[in-house]
This record gives sequence, C-alpha cells and structure tokens, in this order.
Amino acid sequence: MRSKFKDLGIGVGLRPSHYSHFLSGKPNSVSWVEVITENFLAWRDGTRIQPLKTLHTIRQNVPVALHGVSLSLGSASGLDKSYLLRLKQLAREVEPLWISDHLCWTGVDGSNLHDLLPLPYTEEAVAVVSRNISLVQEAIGQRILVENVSSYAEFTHSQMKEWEFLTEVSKRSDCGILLDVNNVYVSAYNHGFDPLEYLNGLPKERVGQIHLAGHSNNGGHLVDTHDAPVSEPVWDLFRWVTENYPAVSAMIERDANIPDWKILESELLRADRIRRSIHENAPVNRLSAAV
Amino acid sequence: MKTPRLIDFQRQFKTSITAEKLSKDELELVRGSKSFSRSERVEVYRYAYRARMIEALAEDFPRVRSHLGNEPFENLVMRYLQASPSIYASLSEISRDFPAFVAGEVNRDGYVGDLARFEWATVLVSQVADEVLSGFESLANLSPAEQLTTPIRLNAFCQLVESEWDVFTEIEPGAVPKRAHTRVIVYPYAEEYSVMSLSLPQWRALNFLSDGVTLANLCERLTHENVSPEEITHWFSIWSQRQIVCL
Repeated sequence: MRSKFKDLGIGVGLRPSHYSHFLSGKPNSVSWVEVITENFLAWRDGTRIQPLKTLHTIRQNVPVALHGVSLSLGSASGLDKSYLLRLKQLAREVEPLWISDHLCWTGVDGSNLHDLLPLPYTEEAVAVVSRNISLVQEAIGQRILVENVSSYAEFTHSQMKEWEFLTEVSKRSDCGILLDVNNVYVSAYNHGFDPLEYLNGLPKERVGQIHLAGHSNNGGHLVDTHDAPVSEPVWDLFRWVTENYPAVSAMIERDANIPDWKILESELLRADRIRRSIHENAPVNRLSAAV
Repeated sequence: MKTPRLIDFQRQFKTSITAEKLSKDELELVRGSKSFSRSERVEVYRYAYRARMIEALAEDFPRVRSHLGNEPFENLVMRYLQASPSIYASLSEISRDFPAFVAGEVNRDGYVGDLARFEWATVLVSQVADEVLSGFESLANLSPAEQLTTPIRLNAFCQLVESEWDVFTEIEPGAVPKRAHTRVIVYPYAEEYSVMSLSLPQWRALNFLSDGVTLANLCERLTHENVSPEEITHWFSIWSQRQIVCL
C-alpha cells in the first residue's frame, strides 16, 4: 500500500524559540518544518502585523508546511471568507509543502473561541465538514490535510465513531489526513475506546502526515498540552503506525515548556530511528544516520 | 432525545463554554463516565477558554493587569469578551479592541484606558520590529537641498500616543498614577521597540508627517510654534537616524 503523499522524513513544529537554528541553515536532524498559519496570516483588515521576513529566510533553508487552527471546518454557519482569502494569499507567498487544519469547529456565527472543539459524529456533520473542506480545497487549489483532535467530550446524539466520521469525511471531500497519534491516545483514554481500533479503522493511504506530542495526566483524564516529551504509550502507537501504515512525513509538536533544541532533537532522532528500523527506504536524516 | 441541528448544537455548546455559569440543561448533550463526569468534561473547555483568553490579554497588557490586580483584570477580560467576542483568526488580534473597552469600562480619570492604549502601541511596534523597511537609506542619501523639497513621511509602523497621564513611567501596583501631559512616539528599535518623548511642536510635526510633507512645507506649517528651521532640521536628522521618518 502506498500513501497518496510524499514521505519527507522527520520534521518539527517550528516555534520562535528555535527560529535561530533555521535562519542561517538547517539542523541535520530535520528535513522539513511546520509553522502555525495564523502566526503569519494578515489581519482581518489587511494589516500585515507578522512580517514574513523570518519565514522567507527559514524557507530558503528548509521546506515549510502551514498548519492552521482557525479554519473551523466543522462550523455549521460556514467558513470565514476573509480567512480563506488571506490563507490563499499566504499560500501564494509561502508556497507551502501542504496546508493542514483540524477536524473540529472553533466558533459559530462568526465568533472564534480559539479552541479545537469536538463535533457530534452525525450524518449532518459529515455533510457540513465535507462541504467546507471541498470549498477550502477549491479556493486554494490544493488538497488539504485534516487532523484528528484530542477531545474531552463526546455527544449523546453521535451516530458513528470518530474514525468512521473522519474516514467518511476524507472520502467525501477527497482530503488527506494528518494523523495525530497523541490525539488518538488522549481521546481513547478520555472516551474509553481502543486506539488500535481507531488506527485500524482509518483509510491508511489517505494519511499524509503524522504528529507526535506530549500530554498531561489530570487524574481522570488526559489533556493535550504539548508541554511534555512524547509519552511511552504514544511512542508504542507510533511504532505500530509506522509498521502498519505507508511511510509518511512525521514530526513532533511542542508548544509549552519548550526545551532546548538539543533536547527536542533527541526526540526527533528517536522518531527517525523508529521509522528507519521499519521502512528501509525512509529518507535518512543525516545526524541520525551518524549516531 | 431529538437530534439537534448542528448549528443549534454549536450555539448551545458555545454558550456552555462562555457563560458565567454552566446550566444543567447544557450538560444533556454530553456523554459522561464514572471517572470523568459530564460537567468535568465541559469544564475542561470552559477552563481552557478562560485561561487562553486571559493569558493572551495579560501578555499584551502586563501593566494594566499589574495596576488593576489579577482578579479585577481577569473579570475585565471576561466582560470584554462578553461584549466583543473574538471574530479574529489569531489570538494576537483579540487585543485590538481592548484599550477602547478599558477606557469605557474602568473609570479612573482615563489612566487605565490610556495605559492600555500605550501598551497596545508597544505590542504593535514590537510585532513589526524586524520587518525590512524601505525608504530609509535613500533618505540618508538626500542632500540638504533635496531634503527640503522631497516629501517625507512618518514610518507607518510607528505609533503616536498622547495622554493626560504619565503612562510611560512604570509605577508600583496600587500606586497613584502621575498626572502629566505625555506625548510619545513608539518606534521599532533593535528588533523590539523604543519610546521617545515629544514636545508639542514635535508632536504636531510628526502628525503632519503622517500624510507625507516636505521639510520646507513642515517649516512653514510650524511657523506659529516658534520653532526655527534649524531646530526642525535637527529633529529630522534624529528621526531619520532612528527610522521614524522615511521617504
């Protein structure tokens, strides 16, 4: 089985504290980076508050993917047309590897709660999300990747499982999937399902990218905080995914308690070693090969 | 139970997250378990919303928070979001209407509103401080004669702030702010920002420059201010060195 997407090897969610490592070159441990779309998007009134100078410098050294948090693909009141126009403009300027966002809604009736809110898994929601994804793909002229989110609530009127919902949406809109392995683990813990059932239920050839991240244990539930190293159960799931899915680009996200580059790099190298131990032809990250 | 339309569900869940108190009716849509109850599940979203918004605004307005105290500041943020829910894609944009809200909400002779306005100006300037700006090198290369006749403008990334209060000087939490007419320009400097105090004629000059004027024209406009052309030329030299003005 082959993925519909190119395998670029190991990447990282690039945050400002690590920009310096990418401004005059590129660490050998990384083949590509992902940046948060909204950090570079022009403001609603057209103001360009976040200059692209830094991003343009970085992309001379390493390919960049755009990862958004505010497309609100699940919003029943429709997409924000202004956001879509600005995304299109940014994509023209940055020429990203690909564009991704989340299987969620962030607001309704024009408001934004700035959170990745879970959807009820209903036929109506499948139709709404699929239509919104199709509109985005039409507007920007490329297929996007849609990421499963960590969730803390499921709804009584859901008619299907999350992985069935994501499968149906991806087929109907012909989008790709950004598989966040940590999010699968967090949601499985919070809702009591088997993460392998989830991972076995997805259309594997549609997965174009993998996210790894850390979470926090709040007693009765897990929270997707991105403030800790990737946990051992998530590494186990990543190994399973690597063994059972086609080889695709994978990366680590860290948004709080961001460690020194060397520490983050050791996690990236672990991910690379797992990939290369399973996929002989996986792109080699030079530093990892030298270890 | 009847399946709600997606839009009705989303409106209801949004209320569950943003309302001051969570009502029992709003929990009906959520599945719970022994170890993680319905209300605990919704509370995760309610807590995250409140924490995220307060953190974003506290980052942009640290002195307003320090002056008001944590709890009053947090309550002010929540009132602000009730009055002006975010319609913005980026969290960095939600602060833009906050100074006006603070000015209308916190009645302390306008100090807190002006302080918020000043802090927002520093945020805006810091955000663009590493942008490549054009028009400075060519300004430096102009001969004195050319400077007189070439239209020069205020760098659009600078922010002019005027207040009846000394908003520039930091004060201890709870201390009484000093009343003093303050005019400053916040400008990009060394990938951050810097602040320069302005006299009234300088303030007027920089306001004229918002539209782009020649040095000769500026001298003419400032004739009533009792400022000599030599003085204006001196300001110009400082402003062009600091990239406050450009072609």
